[in-house]
Amino acid sequence: MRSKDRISYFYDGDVGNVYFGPNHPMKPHRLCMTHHLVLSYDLHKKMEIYRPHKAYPVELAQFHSADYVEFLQRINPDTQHLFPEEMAKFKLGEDCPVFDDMFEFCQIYAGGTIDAARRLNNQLCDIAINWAGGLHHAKKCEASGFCYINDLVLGILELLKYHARVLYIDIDVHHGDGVEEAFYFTDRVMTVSFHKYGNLFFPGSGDVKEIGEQEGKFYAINIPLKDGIDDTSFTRLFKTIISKVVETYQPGVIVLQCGADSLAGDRLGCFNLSIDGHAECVRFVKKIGLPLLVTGGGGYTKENVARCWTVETGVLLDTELPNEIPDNEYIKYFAPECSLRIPTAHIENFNSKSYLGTIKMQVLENLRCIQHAPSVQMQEVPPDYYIPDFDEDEKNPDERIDQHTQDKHIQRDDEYYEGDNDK
Amino acid sequence: MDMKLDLEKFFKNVDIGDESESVDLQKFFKDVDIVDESEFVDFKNVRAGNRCCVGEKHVGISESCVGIEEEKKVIKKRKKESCLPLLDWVKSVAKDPCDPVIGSLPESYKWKAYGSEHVWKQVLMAKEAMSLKVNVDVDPNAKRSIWQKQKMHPDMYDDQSKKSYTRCSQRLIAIEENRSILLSRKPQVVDHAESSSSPVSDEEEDEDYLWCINYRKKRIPLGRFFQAEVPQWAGKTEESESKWLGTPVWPLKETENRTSLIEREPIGKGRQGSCGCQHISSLECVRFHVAEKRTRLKRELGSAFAKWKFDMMGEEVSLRWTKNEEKKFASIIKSNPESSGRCFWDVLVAYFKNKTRAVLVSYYFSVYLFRRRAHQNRADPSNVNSDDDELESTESILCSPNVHLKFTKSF
Repeated sequence: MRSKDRISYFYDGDVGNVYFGPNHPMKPHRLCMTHHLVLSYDLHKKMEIYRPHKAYPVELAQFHSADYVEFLQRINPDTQHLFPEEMAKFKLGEDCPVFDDMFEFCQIYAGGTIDAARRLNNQLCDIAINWAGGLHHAKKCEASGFCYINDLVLGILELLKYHARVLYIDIDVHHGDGVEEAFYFTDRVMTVSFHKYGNLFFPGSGDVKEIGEQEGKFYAINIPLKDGIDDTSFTRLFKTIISKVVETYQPGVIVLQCGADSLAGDRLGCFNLSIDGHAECVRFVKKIGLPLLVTGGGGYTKENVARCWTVETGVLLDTELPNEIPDNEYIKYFAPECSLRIPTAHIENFNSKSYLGTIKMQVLENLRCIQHAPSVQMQEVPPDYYIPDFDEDEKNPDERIDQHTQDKHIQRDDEYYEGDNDK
Repeated sequence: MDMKLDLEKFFKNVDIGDESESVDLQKFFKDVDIVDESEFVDFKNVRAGNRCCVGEKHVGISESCVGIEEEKKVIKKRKKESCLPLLDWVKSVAKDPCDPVIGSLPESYKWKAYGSEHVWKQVLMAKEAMSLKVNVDVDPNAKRSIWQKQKMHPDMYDDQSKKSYTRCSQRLIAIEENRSILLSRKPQVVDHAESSSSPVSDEEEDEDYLWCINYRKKRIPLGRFFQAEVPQWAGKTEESESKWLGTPVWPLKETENRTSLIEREPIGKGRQGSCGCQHISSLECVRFHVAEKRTRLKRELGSAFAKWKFDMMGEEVSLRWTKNEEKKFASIIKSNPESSGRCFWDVLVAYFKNKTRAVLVSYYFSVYLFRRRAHQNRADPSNVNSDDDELESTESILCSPNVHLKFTKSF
């Protein structure tokens, strides 16, 4: 643990005027409010603030398909009606509308996460923050859930140049499907997502049984939760699982998506976390002491988003913030109480102890299937023991596939499992 | 024997298998070696329009018999669903294959001679069709088919001790479960059904159900159109670009001329409890302190103030607007609610030709919404809301916080 973490914080003034359209819940103006609040608490005096470069199309194409990036770049609200096929193909319109300066907005928030990753790689800071980033639903060839470019995937790809293993943690109320899908078949990135699941809640994926496949099997962790989870249940589960994950996986760097729609009272969310509960997760991850990239994400009640990310900036800076919000341009948005903390709602927690216990057990069970990595790199497979790839579907599905054939890694004797381990 | 004649007549009206064929009752009973058909047939339940119960005890063809008289039209549709009773038959065979009532299969070399009116023949045909389907779907060139085809899921190998059948192919059971769960339960599972008071088995069922939904609809696709390209780790060989690391904005450069602050306040200080104003927390008091803070911030931030576009924010933005312009702005929004089908932004952009969209958005958030929120704070502090673009449309927030655009997407 370092005595004092160096923090790099990314912000671009142009995000404030980005507007998705009337009645669209995603309001980048919340980033402006967050920045104002951070400044009003003088937190800028404890960190370095950078304006990110606008990510070039070629950088975005490190993950996304070139034709998708190219379309995003040239489409605008006045011409979108001329390209109905492409609009449908890339899932634009509706949830992901085409708006003015949309591509520039993508370049800014993606550039922030990429620059943050680079600063971490070059050891210019210990923690890098990009509240504008965290748009975890975007897929390789399409937009989804208000996300166009997946800055997290781009940032992780950058980190993979310097680190063997990257751990991705997502506490947005929605499943981090875009990031999970991008790395579903590799063990170099472990994705851990805590989210609401069930009742056709968006995006519909993220069951505990989604654990990755092929080389990536057991390297995707999903913690599906029900409505109304409170601070105690959530933080306890979070700490137990994350400790075990870090101990088992031993990543070189952590990426933490802090979607604020998991807070109580969010316009689209359904959890009952207080800001302190949400921030407790951030505090816990910081304590691990690994290089850390922190991003924003969802959050559709602007004032609470600003409060939450300000408190978490304080946490990352080891600064406790008083509850009374100082005067600032946006003070009226926080009235009448003008307090930093928010009350939780009186709603039922549908996550019973037994349910959470079951989920926890399944997750820990899956973690046991991963080889510990003391001095052996996870990817190293000496030729003598190499087991060729196979496609499960080519085999007769009625035939049981035994454990040996599935695993590519060497099993240590003390970790050999008898029988089928697919749970 | 009257019973038998009635049955024959009944079956002749029913379309099972080939349309040209009707069921040969005698042959049917002979095939399954039913010694005493009265044991097999329960006449009490034969009603017009209801389920015929031939074989009801052991299921089989019973449900596909439905369609007497007025429901004949339904027969063709039900043919597609006839694999459900089929599976029930398989279930019953699996439970007790030695039950003499069920009978026995003819020798395998005789199978080809039998038509699909025989239940056991249907089962064999289904099994063959399924194993063919698996092979056909493996097509490396068809991108879409890779992620749409049925794939074995590890969960299918689980020992499902809670289920009653033990000898059927796991694959058939899983398929049947998918169908029966989806048909019997509505997708809108309300949250209170998932409440903590339900026993664990309910939750497991929920999970299974959800798994079915998601397994069928949201399987993670594999391929170059979905995954990121992750190279093998061979140590740090590639240099992370050291050119683009962000442009430093704060702290200011040493060379920049900065007015030093007279007061040095501790970082993270909150709002002071009391100020020297005559009417604390009044509109004027708030405005004064905000303006005071703004001026101080401007001096402190230097060039950063403009870089962060702080000069385009705050209520002071309104200083660049005339009173008439502000009035017009508000009236355009009010007269173009969402319910009218018009978008107020289009009207705003068309009217304020001398102002860029960025300026309009900035005014909207910094002044218009801000003042509306200030008004709410004073008028009705318990009902503040700045996330709805129109005051009128509060329904979506208050009633169903989860209902929004994201849910218009169908899975």
